[in-house]
Amino acid sequence: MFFVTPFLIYMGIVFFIPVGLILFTGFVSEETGQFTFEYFQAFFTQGLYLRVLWTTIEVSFMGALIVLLCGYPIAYYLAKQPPKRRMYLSLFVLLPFYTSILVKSFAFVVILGHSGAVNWLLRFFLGEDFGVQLLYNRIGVMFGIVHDMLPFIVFPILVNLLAQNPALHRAAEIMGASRTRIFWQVTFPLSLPGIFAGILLVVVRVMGQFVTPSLLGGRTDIMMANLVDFHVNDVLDWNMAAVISILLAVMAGVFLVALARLRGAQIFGAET
Amino acid sequence: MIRPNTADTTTPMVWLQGVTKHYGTVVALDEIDLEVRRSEFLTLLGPSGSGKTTILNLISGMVGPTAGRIWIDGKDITEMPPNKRGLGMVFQNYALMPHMTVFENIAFPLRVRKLKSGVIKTKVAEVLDLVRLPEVARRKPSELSGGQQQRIAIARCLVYNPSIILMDEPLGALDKKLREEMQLELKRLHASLDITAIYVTHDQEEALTMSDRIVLLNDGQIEQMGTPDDLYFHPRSLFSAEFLGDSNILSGNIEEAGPTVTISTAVGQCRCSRACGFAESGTPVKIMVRPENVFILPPGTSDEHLNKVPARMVDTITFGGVIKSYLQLADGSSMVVQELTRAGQSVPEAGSEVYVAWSSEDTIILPVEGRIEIPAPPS
Ligand SMILES: Nc1ncnc2c1ncn2[C@@H]1O[C@H](COP(=O)(O)OP(=O)(O)OP(=O)(O)O)[C@@H](O)[C@H]1O
Ligand SMILES: [Mg+2]
Repeated sequence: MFFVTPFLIYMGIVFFIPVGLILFTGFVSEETGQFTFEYFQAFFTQGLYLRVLWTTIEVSFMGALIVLLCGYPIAYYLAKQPPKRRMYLSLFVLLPFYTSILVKSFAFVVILGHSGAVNWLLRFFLGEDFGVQLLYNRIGVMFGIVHDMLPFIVFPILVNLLAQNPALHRAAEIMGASRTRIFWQVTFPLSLPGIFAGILLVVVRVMGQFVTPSLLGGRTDIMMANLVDFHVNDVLDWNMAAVISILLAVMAGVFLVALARLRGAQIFGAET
Repeated sequence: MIRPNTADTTTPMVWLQGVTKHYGTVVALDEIDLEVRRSEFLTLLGPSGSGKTTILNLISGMVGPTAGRIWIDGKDITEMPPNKRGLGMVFQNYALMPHMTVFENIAFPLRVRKLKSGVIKTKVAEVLDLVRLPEVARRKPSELSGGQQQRIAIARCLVYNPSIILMDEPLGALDKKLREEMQLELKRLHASLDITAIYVTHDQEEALTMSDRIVLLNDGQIEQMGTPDDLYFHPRSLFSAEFLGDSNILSGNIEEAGPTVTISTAVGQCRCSRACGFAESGTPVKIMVRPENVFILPPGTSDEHLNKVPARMVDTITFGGVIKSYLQLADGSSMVVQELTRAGQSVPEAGSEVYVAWSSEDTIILPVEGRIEIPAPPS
């Protein structure tokens, strides 16, 4: 108990007090000082806000799915490498962490922009007036999310794959199973806890993102977090900002519980 | 053991032909030649690191040999991938799929073979009966005891009738009683199904009870190969003698060769009336005698077939059915005597002076180093 006390004090100052303040701002009326749902009502009667809520959910899940599709093969490949090589390759997966968001956005413009590398190649092969809009719309947001979130899905899956009992794969192989069958009937089902852990991390983090969508997305790709930013910094409506923050936290919580239900207690323990 | 004659008894079921396996600089197997006969129960026995698992991995195809060829049923399968070899394997830690039910686990190799679901159902039910666990099909492996899991692993292996079953210490994780039960069970299954079994263990008792033949491995080489009786009663090296069963070892020199060989040792002369390859007098040798072949005699008894040396009783321990007496010889070396317990039996007290004796037929002469070469069979 003695050793955790400093940590508890620290958490109290930087976590519990602010959260308490947010709850207070969201649920207590400024005029009367009474408990109230009026700010929540204000949120749910605004069509625009509801659309933003939906966009947030859509972007998070779509993003998580695409990140999974990109990340699983990477994790699988890494798991097959000898340890030294795996360590060295893992550094590349972590690269997005070392790069500042502004540098990344600039890089995206150079690559995906109207006169960027991709469009240049397309025009080179398909003709002068060919071009696709890859930035400032949902596609751009997805590029940004995949880039940001890849490590969050690769590592939980990698850890799971490495923890799988190699005797299971050998047994399947000796019983005559092909590689494809072994993957779909042994490796993949056993990696579900890793997949769920990864998806959880990505969804919760994407729900709270606002820089990537505002830099790479279009006018309709507004996330809940952008609304918070807007209410705190531009219109100074802190009550609405608190309401949106609370809703975000609740959404993340609901998602976590749903996943936990789905997989029992195995989410974080890779059962192999 | 008498076995039903199969069509072709001359081609070995498995043949490792001059097989060498290196892992980097480690020599795991050093030019092994090994033939596994059709329908036999062959045990690979040896200390840790002697290359037992490596042999199984080479046969199953999990690793390839550095040199040499591997044949199964007359076909060179050295380059064949593991999933095409049609073998069965039982692992020490069962290797059952934790996310599948017992039924799904056993059905797995049948689904691989694309059998109809009706056929799969009957086969799984049959094999569950065979391993005496008809009730557990719907459970997950984690809901079974260790012994039950091992039975399921065996069922999963039997269900697709592989002609060869590889077992890597399949009973290693079970307690003694369950082990002995499963040993009988495996023997029963092997006798009733026409299977060639290659069994790995480092437990010599298990090897002696279960095998038709034992291959004793030592540091990547075959030390000795033969029936359990062969290995126990005719060890060809100190290593074999010491690895299988208990042994008393004395050092000496050949004094006089002939039908009966006389050896001089620090505790007196010994005679050996068994054939051995040592003819030259003066050759240093070891002599070995099993504890159950040694008797404790009161002073004064004499018999010319017996080797007899004075000894002092040190300790006596009763192990249920047998009594082991520990004695010290004149030169300080020790000797163990094992007798069956009988009611009302009296053992000399610790400290008393007695004689230990054994017959010249139970005396085995071994080289100090290496092994006695087998004389080439007359052609
Ligand atoms: N994958 C590997 N890489 C490097 N060396 C290995 C590998 N597998 C086995 N060896 C070495 O090869 C030798 C034989 O190993 P093997 O696994 O066949 O022994 P074993 O007889 O099965 O022993 P145990 O009774 O401990 O299972 C050992 O010296 C071991 O260290
Ligand atoms: Mg082994």
